[in-house]
Amino acid sequence: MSPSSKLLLNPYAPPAYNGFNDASPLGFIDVDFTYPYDVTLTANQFLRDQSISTTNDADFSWRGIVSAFSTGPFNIRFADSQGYHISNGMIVSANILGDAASPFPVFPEILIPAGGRIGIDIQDTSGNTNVIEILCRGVKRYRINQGA
Amino acid sequence: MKLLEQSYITPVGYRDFPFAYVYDGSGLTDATTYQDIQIPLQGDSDFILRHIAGVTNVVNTAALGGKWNFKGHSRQYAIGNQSTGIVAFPNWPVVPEKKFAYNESIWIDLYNVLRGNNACSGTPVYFSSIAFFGVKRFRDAAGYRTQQTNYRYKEMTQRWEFSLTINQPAYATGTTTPNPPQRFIQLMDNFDFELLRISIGQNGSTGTLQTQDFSVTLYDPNMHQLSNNPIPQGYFNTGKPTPQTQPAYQGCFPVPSLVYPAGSSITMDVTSLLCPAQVPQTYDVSFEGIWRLPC
Repeated sequence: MSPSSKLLLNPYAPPAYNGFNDASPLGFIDVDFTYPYDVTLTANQFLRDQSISTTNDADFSWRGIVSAFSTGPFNIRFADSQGYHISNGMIVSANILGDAASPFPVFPEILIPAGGRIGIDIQDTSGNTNVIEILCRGVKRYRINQGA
Repeated sequence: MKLLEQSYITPVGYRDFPFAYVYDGSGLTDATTYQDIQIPLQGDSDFILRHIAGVTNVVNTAALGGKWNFKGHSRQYAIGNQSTGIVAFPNWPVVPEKKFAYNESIWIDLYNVLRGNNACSGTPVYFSSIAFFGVKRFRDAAGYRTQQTNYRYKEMTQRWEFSLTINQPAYATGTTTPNPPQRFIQLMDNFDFELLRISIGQNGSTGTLQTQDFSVTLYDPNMHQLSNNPIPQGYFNTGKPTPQTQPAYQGCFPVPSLVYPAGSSITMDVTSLLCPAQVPQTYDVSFEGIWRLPC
C-alpha cells in the first residue's frame, strides 16, 4: 500500500462514528432531529388518532422509532401525515424494542411536511397505568436559500 | 444521489482527528434540574459531533424523571421536548453529524440529576461524566500532524497487551482531595501502529470491566490530548460483558483511527475512581489495531 493512499476510517467502529457523507437532496440540508411522543395511559385505555405535530421550520424525514420508555406493554400503530397507516394492525411494543443507537427502522424514510403530523393509535395492554415515551428519529430537511 | 454507504470523505483542505469533549457533572447537585449548561469548545478547531455517551450517569432513571436534551450549533434543540427533555440512553448517536464551529459551545439540559458514583464508606467517587465523541477538524494549512507512514507497507493485525495496575484510590488518604492521574506508556518499538480500539478487562475476570474504576486521558503520538477531561473507561471500552451482551455504551475510540509511528508511545493518564479498600487493582488493557510492516 502506498503511503498516501489510505483513508483512515476505523473498520471496527459503527458507520455513524466514522461519519456519513452529506446525503441531503440538492437544495436542502438535513439536520439530525428527534420528535418525542409522551403519554400516560390508564389501564387498557385506547387512544386513537393521536399525533406528533411537526414544526413549521422544516420538513421531517422520519427514519426510525425508539420505544424509549414504558412501564408496561402496549400496542401502537403509526400513520403518515396523510393518515395512511404504515401497518395493517397494531404493533405489539415487544416488536419495536430498540434503543437510541439501534432504533426500529422506518425504511425507506417517510417525509412529513413542515407543520404536518405523525399519526398514532396507542393502547395499553398492561392493565395498569402506563407511562410511555416514543421517539421518532430522523432529520429536519431545511431548504437552502438559493438567493434571488 | 450520494450513497450513504460511501466511505466518509473529509472536506478538501481539512483533516480530522478523534476527540471527545467530556462534561464532568460531579459538581452538580442531585435532584436538581439544569438548563443551558454550556460546554465551550477549546477554540482550536471545529468539532464534528457523532455520538454522546454517559447521560445515564448524570440523570436519574427514566421511572424517576431523569431526562435530558441538547442543542446544536445554532442553539436549536436537537430533540423536540424543549421544556421537559427525553429519557436518557447510555449512547445517543447523532446522525447526521453536527458541526460546531471553533468558537461555539455544546449546550445541554439535565432534568433530575443523579450523579453516578462508586459508593465508598466515606465520600462517594463520582463518575458522572457525559462524553461528546467526534472529531476535531483542522485546516491542512494549520500544519497539524499527518497520519501517513513514510515507507511502503503491508498491514498485519496486531494487539498490544498492557497490564495496568492502579495502586492509589480516588482520594488521597483521609482527605477528599483527588489523587493526581498516573501516567502509563506503551512503547511502539517496531513498526507504525494504527490504533483502532481499546478493550479493558479486570485481571482474572471472565468478562470485560463493567464498573467505572478509572477514567482515561489518551494522547496521540505528539502528546495532544484526545479529550478535554478524562473519559470513564466504560465509555470507550469495546470488550463484551458476556459473549451475548454488547458493551453498555457501545463505544469505540479513537475514530477515525490513529497512527502511532515506530518509536512513539501510546500514552494515557489514568485517574483512579477506586475506593481505598479496593486498591491495588490490576487490569488487562488491549490496544487493538494494525501493524504497518515494511515491504
